[in-house]
Amino acid sequence: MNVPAALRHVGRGLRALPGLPAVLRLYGRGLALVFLSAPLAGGAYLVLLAVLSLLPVLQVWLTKLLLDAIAAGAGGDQGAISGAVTLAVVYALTLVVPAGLRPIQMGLMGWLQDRSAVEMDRRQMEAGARLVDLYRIERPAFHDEVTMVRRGSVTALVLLQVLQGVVGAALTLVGLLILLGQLHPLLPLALVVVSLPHLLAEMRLGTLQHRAMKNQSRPAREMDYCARVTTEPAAAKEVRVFGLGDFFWQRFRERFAVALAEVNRIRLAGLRFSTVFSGLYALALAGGFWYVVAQARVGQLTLGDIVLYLGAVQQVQGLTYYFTRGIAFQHELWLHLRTIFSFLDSAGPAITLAPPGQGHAAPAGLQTGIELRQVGFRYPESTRTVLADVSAVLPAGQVTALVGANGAGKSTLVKLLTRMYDPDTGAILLDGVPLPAYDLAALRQRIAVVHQDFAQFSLTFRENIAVGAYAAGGGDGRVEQAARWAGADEIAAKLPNGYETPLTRQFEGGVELSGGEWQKVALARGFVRDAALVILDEPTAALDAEAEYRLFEQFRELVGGKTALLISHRFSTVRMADHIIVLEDGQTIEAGSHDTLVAQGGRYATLYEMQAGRYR
Amino acid sequence: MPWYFHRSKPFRQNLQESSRLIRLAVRLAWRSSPRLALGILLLLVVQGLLSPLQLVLSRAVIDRAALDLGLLTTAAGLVAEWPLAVWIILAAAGVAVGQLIQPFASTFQSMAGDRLTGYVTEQLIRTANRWHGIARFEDPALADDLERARDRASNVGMRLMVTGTELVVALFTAAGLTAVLLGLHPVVPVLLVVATLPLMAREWEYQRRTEMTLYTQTPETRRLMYARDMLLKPEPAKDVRLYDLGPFFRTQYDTIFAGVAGTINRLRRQLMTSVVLTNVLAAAAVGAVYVYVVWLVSTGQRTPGDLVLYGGAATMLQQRLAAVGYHLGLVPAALNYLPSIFRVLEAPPDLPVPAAPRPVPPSIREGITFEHVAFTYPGQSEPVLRDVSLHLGRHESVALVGRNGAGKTTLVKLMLRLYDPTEGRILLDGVDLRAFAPADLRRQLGVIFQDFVRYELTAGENIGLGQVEARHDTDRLHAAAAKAGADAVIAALPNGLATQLGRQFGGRELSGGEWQKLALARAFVRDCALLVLDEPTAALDVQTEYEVYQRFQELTRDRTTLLISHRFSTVRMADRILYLADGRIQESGTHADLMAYDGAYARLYRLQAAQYLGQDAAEPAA
Repeated sequence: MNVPAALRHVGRGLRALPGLPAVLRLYGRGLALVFLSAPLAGGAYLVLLAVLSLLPVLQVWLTKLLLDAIAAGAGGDQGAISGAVTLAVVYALTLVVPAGLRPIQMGLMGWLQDRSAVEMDRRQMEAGARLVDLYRIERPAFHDEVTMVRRGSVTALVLLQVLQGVVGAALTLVGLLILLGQLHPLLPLALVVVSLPHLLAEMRLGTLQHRAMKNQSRPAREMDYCARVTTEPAAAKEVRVFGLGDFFWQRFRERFAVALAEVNRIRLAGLRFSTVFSGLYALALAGGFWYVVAQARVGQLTLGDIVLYLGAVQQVQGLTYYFTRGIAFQHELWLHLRTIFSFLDSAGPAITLAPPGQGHAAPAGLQTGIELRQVGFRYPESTRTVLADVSAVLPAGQVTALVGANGAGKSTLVKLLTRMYDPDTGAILLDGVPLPAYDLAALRQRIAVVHQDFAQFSLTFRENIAVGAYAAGGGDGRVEQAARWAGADEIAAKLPNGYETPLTRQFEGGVELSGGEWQKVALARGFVRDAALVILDEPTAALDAEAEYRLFEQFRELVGGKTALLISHRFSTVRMADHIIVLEDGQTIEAGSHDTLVAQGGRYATLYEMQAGRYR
Repeated sequence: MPWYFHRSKPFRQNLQESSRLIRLAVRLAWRSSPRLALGILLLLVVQGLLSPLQLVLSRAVIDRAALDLGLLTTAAGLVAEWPLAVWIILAAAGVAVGQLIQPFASTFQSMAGDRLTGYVTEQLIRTANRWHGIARFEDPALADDLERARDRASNVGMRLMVTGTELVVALFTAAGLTAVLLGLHPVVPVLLVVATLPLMAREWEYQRRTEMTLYTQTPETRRLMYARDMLLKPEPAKDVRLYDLGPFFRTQYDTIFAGVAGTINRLRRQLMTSVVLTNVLAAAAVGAVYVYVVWLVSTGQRTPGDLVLYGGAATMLQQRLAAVGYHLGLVPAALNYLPSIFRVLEAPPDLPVPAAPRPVPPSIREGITFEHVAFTYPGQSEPVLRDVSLHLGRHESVALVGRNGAGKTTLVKLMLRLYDPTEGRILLDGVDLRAFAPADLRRQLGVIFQDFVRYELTAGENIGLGQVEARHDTDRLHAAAAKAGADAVIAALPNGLATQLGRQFGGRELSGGEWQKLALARAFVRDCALLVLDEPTAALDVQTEYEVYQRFQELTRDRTTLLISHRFSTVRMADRILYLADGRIQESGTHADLMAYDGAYARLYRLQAAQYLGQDAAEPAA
């Protein structure tokens, strides 16, 4: 790197400075998070940091005094000698005291780190809890956003630690510069002036390097993906049968090379840079040195001052490196903090909630049922209208089936009923009252859904069911009863620890269930809830014929007098419903009982015949 | 687990394991980039020697200046010979080199760390690719190792580099400083080392134990992360919100954390006192040396430069020794994930591969035969398949039926040689599958699994990976898509086949049914003699399912097909149906045969048909 290029970086670094107040505010929030998570330990840590940072300055000063005392006693003056020995003892104390304090400081730091990591986790969990709907969570970018927040919070904590190191280094540096200023005011100034461009340039390069990593995140992430596909059990069968190992290996190599080359390019630029500035620095250093010695020669400064200069610049050397490294990270730290706090600040509901305490209580059982009035919906960031104009009624106490092709919007409708989204147009009424008028938590407590892609929690068998009635406590045999209904009790009986077996191999003593077995667990989770509305979204897709048969034998009993909505591709299931709604192109095209619809000879009748005909 | 870290292990054994791991780590680092490793080593030597050298130069400057100022009358050797200006330049250069060398060292470290990460990950991929079956993946312990090795590879790279180099620098410097201090009095370095030994031991113990606790509690910390992540994951988001599980996971998090933190803090407190005491002892020794030197200098027995030299050297030696202890303590943590990595890298092949494989016939002539095949999953006692004998003839389509857990998918895994049977054998055209090279054999096989993969790649690649060398042949991809009913899916994508799919890279997210059509297309693009369809239409809507099976005859023509399905309407279309239960083929024949036989198949068929055609057609449920 030539000098003009170096200067350009310096210039850009300078131009970045005016944003400083905003940057500092963000650091303030980050540090507050760390220190407020354990105020006492935090305070003690800071005091120790200050004390320990200033001791090296004292040591340099003491050395100077010592040499001056020795020089004075060169003639054999006993007083000067004992003075020197006294100073030496004081010096020894500056070694012993920090030796005792430093481990305590480190211990406090470990404690602070733990606390602040937990604080960060808790704030993320709280943010997650504030996201009561799916507007944000189902955005494709959300996964990336959370990954960035998560990675950021780990790095930010490490970097805040670096920052604290920087504060300590800055304290020591200032002290040393003041000492040097006593030799001549221009000496510290010269050192600062010579170091400043380096500092700015490092800041700039740190920014560049971080940006490169971010831009490169695509190859880096693709590289990571290739490593995953080839080493994770999930894809192992296909990768083998289709012989894809080499394909992904080659791709890994390519992406790795690209990602590495870019980062290394910037790293090497940084090195050339450091070389230029180190040369400059050495010149300034030698100049200062010459001045001090010359002054000593004419009796203006002492031998002690030479030692002071030497000791100070040696200390400064180690510190400036530490300091500039810390500063080089500041951009990255700032970005991480910005990511974290903007996420935390913006995490909130997208749907309109009833003001606290003013929402309607949801009924234990429906009186009239649910009415969809000209409901229209499109996912944010999508151009496709999922539901154009859906009007339908789910009568209270009846089983309604919803039929439609893949992508017709059946699962979307379920999300609207549970207010994971609100319709763009039209309204959904429960017992004649629009859904948003109900208290959200109360409303959801009255709805049980067995989602098509239900959650497989890495919890115990019991917990996986009990979460369906978590708020209600889920005790006193309700879990067992729900498991029996869903046919999941047989699974529990075969598990090594029965109901208390974790359903994941990730945790000790855990087991992995098959798809069909999981589906029964999910069904039990739906049944355990004391719901007014039960929604089953493809409840039997992974069940064998006998299990499916048994389930629907009992279906009426399970649903009881509740209002139920059933989504299925199996018309054997659908025909059991009291009422059937056919959804196509975002509209309800037919509605009625099985017999009515078959007699009508419309779309439903055609679809039914397609499937049933093959059994004749 | 031959050399896994356990805290209960005796020190010596632990040390042996550590040193073996270190040797392996060094070898890894060397292999990943020899040039960088050499560069780092060189820098380490320079860094290690620089501090003593700086001290010696300082002494020379001071003594020379003292000579010039008349504070000294004589000086030894070069100090008296060379003028002050030379010494000043040398000392300034020493400081500048020190300043320059640090960024070089850390940059090289990062570069080598990245390379090491890449190298290790690549080795993991290659090792996994060498496993021809899936037994290793389904072995929970090894799968765990693999996951840990992959996720921590980056960490391992950097940590090894940093800890390793810091340790070596500290050792080099300490050696140099010891040499310097010998010039003061031979007892001095001995005293300093002896006084610092307890500190080293404490530092080592402290770092090792506090770090190791975090590691040994991994199952706990994993549960901690799990509870934390639940609220921000898209997959379980609906259930978590509907069931309002925020408080549940929050409580879980707090409980687990309290346990983990309690243990760690107890440990920290336990060790703290002794660390403080040993630290003070070591510092006191340095202080004593310092006072001794001051006395020597002020009584004229030593020069002022010696004060700077020996005072500095004593302080630094103690610091470096403590650092050695500190970094040694970090070594086990830095090596933590190495056992996982090496267990993976050294895992033996899971399937025997013949030294001289037989060529696989280009098309199946006689078919595939199972002869008394039995199979038990490794580590389990109950066999899944007890005695399966069957034959799939050339161009025959066979459906396999059975309840959940009957072993249908296991049978498929054996047929694809993802496992070898525990007893009996499987023949292709009369030759045992084990006589072929797995890759050759699989070139003749195509499959769509129940849990097919949703590749976060382009739509074209999602299909083309069925025949990876033909993945750029768009005509072929379109043809396969049309066969699978995926042409409409492709047409709806903004960039057609070139559209990126999946969440991870900001691509289009497809519905379950749409993904399944792509998976079907992937199976159809393959030019294979045997096609296995494991529940291929579970997530498809009626219309698409209907269309796929309208083409069933065409899809299965000119190839042997094995179909697994719970939908009997589909099953009955096969040439022959096998009913699997209790680890044996219980019934075999055409739909008409089996209905006439009136066994388990007939009962299940009627059960399902009745749901479509009304109760009158059903037998009373048994």
